[in-house]
Amino acid sequence: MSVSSPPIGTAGHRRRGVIGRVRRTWWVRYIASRLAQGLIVILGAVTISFLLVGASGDVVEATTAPTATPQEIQQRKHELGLDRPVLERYVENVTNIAQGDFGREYRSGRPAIDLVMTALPNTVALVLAAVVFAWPIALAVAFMSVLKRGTLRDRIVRRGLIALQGIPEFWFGLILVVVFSINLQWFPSFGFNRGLWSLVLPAIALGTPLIPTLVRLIRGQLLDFMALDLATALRAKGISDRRIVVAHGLRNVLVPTISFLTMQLGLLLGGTLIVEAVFGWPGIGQLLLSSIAGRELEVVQAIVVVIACVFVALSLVADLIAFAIDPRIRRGAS
Amino acid sequence: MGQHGRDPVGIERIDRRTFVLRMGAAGGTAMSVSGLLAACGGGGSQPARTGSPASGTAPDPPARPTGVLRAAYNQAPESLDPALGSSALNIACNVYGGLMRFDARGRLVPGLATSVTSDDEATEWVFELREGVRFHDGTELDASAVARSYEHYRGGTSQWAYLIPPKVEFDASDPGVFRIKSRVPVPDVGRNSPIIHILSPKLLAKGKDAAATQAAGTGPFKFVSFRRNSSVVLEANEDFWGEGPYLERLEWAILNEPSARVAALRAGDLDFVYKVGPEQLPPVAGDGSLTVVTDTPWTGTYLILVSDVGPLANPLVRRALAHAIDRQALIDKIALGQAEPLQSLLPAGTYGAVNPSTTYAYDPDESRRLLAEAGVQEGDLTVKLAANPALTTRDLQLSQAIAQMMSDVGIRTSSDVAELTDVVGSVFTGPHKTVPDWQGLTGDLGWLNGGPVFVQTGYLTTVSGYDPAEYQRLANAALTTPDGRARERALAEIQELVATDVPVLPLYQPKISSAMKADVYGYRNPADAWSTYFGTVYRGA
Repeated sequence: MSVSSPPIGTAGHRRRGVIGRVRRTWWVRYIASRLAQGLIVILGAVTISFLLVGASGDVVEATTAPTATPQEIQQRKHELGLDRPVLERYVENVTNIAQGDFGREYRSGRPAIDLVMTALPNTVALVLAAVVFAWPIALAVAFMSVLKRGTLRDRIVRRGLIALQGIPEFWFGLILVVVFSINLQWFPSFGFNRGLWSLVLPAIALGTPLIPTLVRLIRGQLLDFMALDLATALRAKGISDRRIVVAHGLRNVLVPTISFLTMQLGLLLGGTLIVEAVFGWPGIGQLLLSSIAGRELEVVQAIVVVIACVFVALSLVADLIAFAIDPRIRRGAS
Repeated sequence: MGQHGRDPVGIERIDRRTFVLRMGAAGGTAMSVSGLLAACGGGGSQPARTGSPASGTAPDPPARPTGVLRAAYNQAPESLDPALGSSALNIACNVYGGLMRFDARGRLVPGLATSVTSDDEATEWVFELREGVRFHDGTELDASAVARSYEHYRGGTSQWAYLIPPKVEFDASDPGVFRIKSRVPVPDVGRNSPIIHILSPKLLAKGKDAAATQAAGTGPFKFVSFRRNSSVVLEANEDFWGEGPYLERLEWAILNEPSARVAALRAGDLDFVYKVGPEQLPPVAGDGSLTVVTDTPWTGTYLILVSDVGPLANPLVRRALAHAIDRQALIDKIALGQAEPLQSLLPAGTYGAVNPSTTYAYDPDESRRLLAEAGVQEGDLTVKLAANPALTTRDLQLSQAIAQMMSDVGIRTSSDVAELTDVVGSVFTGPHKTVPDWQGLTGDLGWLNGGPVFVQTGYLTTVSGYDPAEYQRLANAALTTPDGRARERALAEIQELVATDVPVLPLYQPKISSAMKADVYGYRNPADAWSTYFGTVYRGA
């Protein structure tokens, strides 16, 4: 039996063409929808940062000489446009940012976005290193915990993870320095001038608090999988639990883990301040700290908006990866 | 200077008391009154060098620049331009230099000028410039270059514009002589000159932002690189006109976190850390490979009281507070012994500093008696203290300790951590029309030029609201009288008046300690507690 296509130009042909286009473009529309949502998030970040920056005190008085006359202060406000209505300044602010103009750092005269884009790669490297450090450890611990569920070793590991999650980053970072830099002298105590060697301690300090959360996530997913009929069937075929977990369970935990890690990257990008301070890492956190201290509000806003953009982008990437891996999500979306 | 008449300033005859330090919160650029430093040079007292096996047996400096010093930079500079704030002063101190400078004992000595003189009224100042000095970019130093930097410093964005009196004229008609002329007495021109660094005119000609990312001066070190929030690297200027440099290279690592700095020193990743906190001194002092140099800079720790409105408007109450505070306990427990007692408004070593006859010993009974005399019943009085952690790290503990001492004499208190913007908006508003949110503010004040600059910035008046006619008269005298007995008398009377009326309670004069590898020699802590000078520092064998 042959299946013939509807004749060209008929209603049937047009309907199949539309459905085909719909099938081909559903993901385009989905991405467009997520991008639109992302733009709203970014606009929100711009708005909130604009309002917070405006509410954080008089930048002119904080950055002019103490002997400046009221006329000089007024002149400075005029130069910065601070004597104009808030709404007008807000519209201009949004317009400028849309064009990539975040203003200039007051003291150096450098474009704020340049400073952020110089510091961002350092923080990205640190965050990625932290994830690379945390992910395999968490995976191994979760596998062990599932395979040895209920044993003394499992209980010890789980209690240990709770303690690990409570470790303050600042304290932990300094302990790492004392042990591995001062006593053992294996790694440099700060900076990033010794290549990957410099990355080790900050990555451990940043990545260690990630491990407990990751372990819980992976362990929960694996336990769910092991309770499925599929796992029971595999066992009935004589396949060992270890093989079931490694060969079949891993695929099932990938999607939630990748989604979690991708979003965690965004959180880490904005939360490396303490680790960067302890290890003198010239990233976004340090830049934010010095910009706040120096009342460089354009830089502060640029950091906030760039972090929001990264967050939105990572969220989109997480969705796309999930689509690529999990056919159930594709079916649901289409 | 006024009392010296037309004679060239006898630099060696002027002790450091002639020079006052900056007034302003140690918090730096964010403070509206962030003051200045006594410039590059040594502290106001003899340093204590401890912990080094080589103590007292310093080898001779090398014949030519040798070795590298890796030092911690405590406050990340946003800009290299020294006119824009305090965070670049360490760099400026070593790359640039002023017409005069302070030596290791805090005396004003020749810098880029070989002498400075003034007329009797201190209305015309003459700086004789050093011959044969070139900027690092090859430009020759002359009066027009100096004038260009002075113009830069009094520009609208300069944080130090107040160091150059308004309406003065610069005369650079003679290339070898720089003159400053004024219609009114300007007695601090010479004293301020170490703080005004001379930048290459070629650099300034590149535009207003050029000095933010590059540096070209006449100092002992030449600028090599600046990586934001990471490092600043300098190399020896072998054509330097003065002593040194002895180091071939100076590498600063920007580390904002004090604990991380000390850890890096102990790990061997740094050779020098400035301002090691008292709580971090024991492990450093116990490390045989390290040396600690301690000085007492021209800085004081104070409690400023809102004196014109609210619960502390009555002087009797403020005196009662003064008697309620156990300063020695604060030195022992808060400063961990790293401080000297302070009774006067001016820290020891600053120009015009005296010990006032009115002092307040710790005496809770006398405090209660004064409160009763003021009509204050126990529990009736509530005082809110603010502490700004941006100013000093131990500010909160200090404020809480004082609150406890006040509670012991029946004053209800609370201490808060005030954010900088809150403090600026709510406290720096005097004379006050309403009672501000806080009636007491603890913090460190550094002194650039002692009494005169302190009076000029109006810091005390702005915070405390204290501004009686007698104080205004004395302040005016201190600002316009050339150096000499009359000026010192005015400053002494200000200190006595303040001691009597207690708009501010001096608590103690903190020491600063720097830790370094035992083979580092020739270092003194800066009197201003800001600018660390490495021109005379060298590494031993």
